[in-house]
Amino acid sequence: MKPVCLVIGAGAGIGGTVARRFAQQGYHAVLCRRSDLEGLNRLVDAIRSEGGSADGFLLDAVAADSIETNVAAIEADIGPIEVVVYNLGAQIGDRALKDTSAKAFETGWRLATFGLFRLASAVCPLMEARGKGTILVTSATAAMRGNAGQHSHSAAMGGRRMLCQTLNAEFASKGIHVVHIVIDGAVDAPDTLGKMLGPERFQRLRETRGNEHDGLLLPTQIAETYFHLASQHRSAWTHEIDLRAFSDRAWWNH
Amino acid sequence: MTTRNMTQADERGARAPVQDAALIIGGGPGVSSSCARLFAESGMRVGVAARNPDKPVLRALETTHGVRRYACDASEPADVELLFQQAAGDLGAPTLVVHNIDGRVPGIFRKGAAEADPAMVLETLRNSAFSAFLVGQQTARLMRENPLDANGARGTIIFTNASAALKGFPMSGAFAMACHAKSGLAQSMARELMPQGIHVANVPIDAAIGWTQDDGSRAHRLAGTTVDDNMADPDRIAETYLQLHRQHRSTWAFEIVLRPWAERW
Repeated sequence: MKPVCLVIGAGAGIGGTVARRFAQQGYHAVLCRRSDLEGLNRLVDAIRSEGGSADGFLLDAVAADSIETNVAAIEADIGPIEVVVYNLGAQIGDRALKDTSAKAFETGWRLATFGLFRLASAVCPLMEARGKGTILVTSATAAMRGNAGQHSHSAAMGGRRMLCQTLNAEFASKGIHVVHIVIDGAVDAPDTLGKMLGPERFQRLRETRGNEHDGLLLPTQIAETYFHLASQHRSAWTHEIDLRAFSDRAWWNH
Repeated sequence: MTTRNMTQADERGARAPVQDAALIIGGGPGVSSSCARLFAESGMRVGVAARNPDKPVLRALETTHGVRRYACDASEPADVELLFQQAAGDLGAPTLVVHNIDGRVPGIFRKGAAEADPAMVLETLRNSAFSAFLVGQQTARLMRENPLDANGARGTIIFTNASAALKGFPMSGAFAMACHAKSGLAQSMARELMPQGIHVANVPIDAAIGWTQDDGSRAHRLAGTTVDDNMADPDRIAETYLQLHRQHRSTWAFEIVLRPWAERW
């Protein structure tokens, strides 16, 4: 039975690419996303077509019991979850306080913070019993710094960062490696940034900063570091890592 | 901005395979030896510089891994400049530099603010933060001439740092100053040099490092013998250094703290 790499938030950017990277290394990748069954199937098929093993499920991380039920089903039907990638974003663009609704704020928190809490509550006892496991958490500039217009996103991601620290404090010495990964820049991801900007602006961004300029973080390269983190020996773990393009400004220097 | 990007795009088409040359400044039985071995095993030409390059552990690296040894007081500007010239001549211009100097003089350990000898504090700062600057400066001068490698980089400089870079411990003011200074230097250099293609990384090792002793155990001078991987293993630290060096320029880490799974922090 192959160990499972469960990716929550598997679009065509970081999530899907990381799933594929782990599948190439012999994991059974389980890809979960909220919508777009067709897009999900394309990712799963791509992994299978290169000899990897993978499954895909639609999962609404805000709905009651969704994460818990999926974790239990995967453990029962597929295999032990050795690696979890929590890759749900909560970016809604820059909005002034008066334009940030209570509903948007609450949804941001449910996706960014509460979903991770629910996931950890479901997988940590399993990982602890096995004495090992890895929880890779994708995070953002907003976790480190409250930029203008980021009320919802920053509060939610700041909470995510602190939750990663408290999880690490309780579970690292039980063999669970928790990593908070600060993606400090724009990612060349069609399903997130692409949809937020629209096809024309996204294409323009790729032409001016992406492509040969390497100014957008590339999901394939991010996946390399995710896999390295999951492979680190327990004598030398890192809990937090910042990733950005060489030409980009760092969060502390905005 | 546009001009720089065009230059990079032009050069990218003409990238040749680059043989890595690694220069490790500060040489002992821990991180520097582990890095030297792993880098050599990964096909790099490797040099190690130390005040005393005749230490048995460094001689052993020469025998087992063909590592070149250099005598260098890294707190002396002329010494560091000469080191880089010699190493560039012997190994090729460095593409990976590791500054791995702790810098504390023996008499400064466990001295409170009221007791620390100012001369020893200054010497500690010279050994660590000032030498990091000198090494960083030579690295910047040489590496900016390097061609871009397959990852779009001209090279990597990694500063080994310590818990004291994250928090000031009591009775340890000189080291706290030195490590914070090194972090500040690394951050500033990263902001300046990363857009020029030089990857700068600060790696605080937040733990005792237990290196392999003659009897095969892993131990630290003060913290005793390693039990259940409760100390950082320098061979494993070296693996993360290598991964940092191999990152593509679209996705560079600047700071990465390494600690054992069971470490309290």
